[in-house]
Amino acid sequence: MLEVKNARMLYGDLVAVDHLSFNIEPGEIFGLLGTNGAGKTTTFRMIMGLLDPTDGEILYNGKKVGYHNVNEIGYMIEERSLLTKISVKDLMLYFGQLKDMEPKVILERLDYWLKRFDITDYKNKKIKELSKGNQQKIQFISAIINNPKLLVLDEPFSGLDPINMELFVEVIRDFQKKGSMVVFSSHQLDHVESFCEKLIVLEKGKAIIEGRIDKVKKDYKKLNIRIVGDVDVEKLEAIPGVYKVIVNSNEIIAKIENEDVANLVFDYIRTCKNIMKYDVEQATLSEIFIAKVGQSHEEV
Amino acid sequence: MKKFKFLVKYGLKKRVWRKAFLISNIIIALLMVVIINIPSIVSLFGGGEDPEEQVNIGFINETAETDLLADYSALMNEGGEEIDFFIFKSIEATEFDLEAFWQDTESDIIIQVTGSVATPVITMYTKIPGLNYYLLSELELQLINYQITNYQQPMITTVNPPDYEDPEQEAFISSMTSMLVLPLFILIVMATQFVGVDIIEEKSTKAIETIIASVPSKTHFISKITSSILFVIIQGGLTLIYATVASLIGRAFASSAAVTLPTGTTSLLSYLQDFMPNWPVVLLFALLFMIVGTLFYLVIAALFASMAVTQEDYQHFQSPLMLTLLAAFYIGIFAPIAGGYGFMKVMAFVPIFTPILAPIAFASGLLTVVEAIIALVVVIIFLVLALYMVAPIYKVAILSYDQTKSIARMKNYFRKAFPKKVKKE
Repeated sequence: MLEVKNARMLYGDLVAVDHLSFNIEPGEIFGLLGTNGAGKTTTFRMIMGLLDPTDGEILYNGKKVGYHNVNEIGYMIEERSLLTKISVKDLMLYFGQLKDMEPKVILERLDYWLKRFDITDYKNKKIKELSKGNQQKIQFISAIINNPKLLVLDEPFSGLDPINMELFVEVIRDFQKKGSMVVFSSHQLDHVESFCEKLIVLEKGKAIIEGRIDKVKKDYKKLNIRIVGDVDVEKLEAIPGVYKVIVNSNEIIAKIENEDVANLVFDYIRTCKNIMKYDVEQATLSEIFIAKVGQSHEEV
Repeated sequence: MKKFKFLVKYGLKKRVWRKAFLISNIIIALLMVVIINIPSIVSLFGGGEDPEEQVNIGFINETAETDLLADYSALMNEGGEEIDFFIFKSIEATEFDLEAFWQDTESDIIIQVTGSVATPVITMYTKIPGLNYYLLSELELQLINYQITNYQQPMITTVNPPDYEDPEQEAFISSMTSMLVLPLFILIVMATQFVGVDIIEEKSTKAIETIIASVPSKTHFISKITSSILFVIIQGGLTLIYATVASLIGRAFASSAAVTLPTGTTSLLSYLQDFMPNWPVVLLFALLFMIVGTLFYLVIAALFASMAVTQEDYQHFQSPLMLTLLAAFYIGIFAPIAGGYGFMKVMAFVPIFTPILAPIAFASGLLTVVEAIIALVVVIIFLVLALYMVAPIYKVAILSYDQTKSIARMKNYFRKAFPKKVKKE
């Protein structure tokens, strides 16, 4: 289990991470979200033991993360961190041996992953000769080559097309099934929603949203009603508790304050003509995120 | 330890297992053969034979062997040109006035042989000390011819002019300078470049973050320095091997019928050996200075590389280091020419100049063994201090991508590496 206990990181007077706490159990995928400069990378660096927290502690299976247990961890940083002048094979041998792996095992696993990511032809190519997407794949392979029990992924999906993104998700889910803990950050919130069970949203180093996604959504009272049919937008907006109406080409979305407002909206819809469909759904993670981040800014 | 060994091996392999290494070593080996055998090569092309002036030798024979002068003269001019090179003139002992001889421009050398042929006593007054060895060895040969058995080694005294300054000593210092300064300078520059480029390559590509996540920054720092110094030792060792091979080639070359060297000089090495009988000690000190000095420079270079963010940034950071090395190089080359031995000696004790200047100063006799040891100890102390100071700064700087002005950045890293302790009230 990974335990982040009241971790705090100061850079001079700047509070990069402010009393952050969360746990990740084996087989759990955990999302760390936030705007740029929210403290995600600092949190990852603290988890990896690259930075010592000013206060609090981070424990991996009850022990402080350090060079004694780092071989069980896979780490992928936000920006591409590859030695571009050497070949894929040499890079994997280098990074793998830094994890105390035997060259033979590294090459066996490399062959497996290159096949899985459909880039077997690039084994002896120099990194600089690869496309950005393929470099991203190589970086991902370098993070998982040691079959980590804890996988720390900082923006793993940035710059990936939907097909490769799905490929990454599939591999991450495989690690989840094997009981590995996965913690990742991402800007693509809608994707996160379908991918992880627990999350924390950071804003200026503080957790503004945290917990299981279903609970987060439930706690966020606001709902959306999607309507396909002829409705008078002005009348819809006039219903108490409807705080916003969005008109799309094929549907109208009424954003409501809580469940009780839904009945008022339904009563109105029943009076309208040509109604083909209407249903209530929870707010998306993006909406919750934007709302909370906005609120956080307002509080400041 | 396993990771440290791996990093050292990796760093070394990266440098040695390269075409560039092979090509540069072929060039170095060829240069060594050429430089060390310059006298032979020049002689092969008929060079080096300046229009020579005849040498006038006054000979005082006080032995019973009356033919000594004639035989010696014949031996000395044997196989020469039609006109004798060594002009001998018999002088009576009573006619010889030493003071007048030093003033005299006609006579170059006076050789006085007293005692018997079997137990000769030779005194040589000379204005051309460079010929001493040749003249005396031939004279001994002549004396041996008279009395094969019971021959006694002659007592030999050579007397130089009162105000004599050995030009060969100066030439020797000068040749020592060029022999030692250039390889030292090149090796140190190579090593500092390698360590810097290695670190900055990992840092600028952000690969450093993945690496430091697997190995402590201190291990990374020491491994980079170790692999670079091992590279320097390997390259230095190879250069010595090339020098030895070049010297052997020179000897084989000289012993062949193709070349006849005028004074028995086969190579620069044998020439240096004549002047530097303590060469093993000199070599040992040169190696020690090279290793310790290069380490000192490597630590500084690694520090600068850790503070830099890009290759250009590193070039900017390392320029003071390169200028210092260049200054040491020029002091080493020009101080002996300008007669600034005192200056060179003083600078040899300044740690940043010691690695280049101390070996030259010691080899050329400007530093005694004790002084050389003191210079070495001073560099070692500075090296230990540098390691103590640099390791914490390296840890802070290596994962930072701060791009503020150099001085501000250095101050910032220093503050982070050595935070002030807050007094508890």
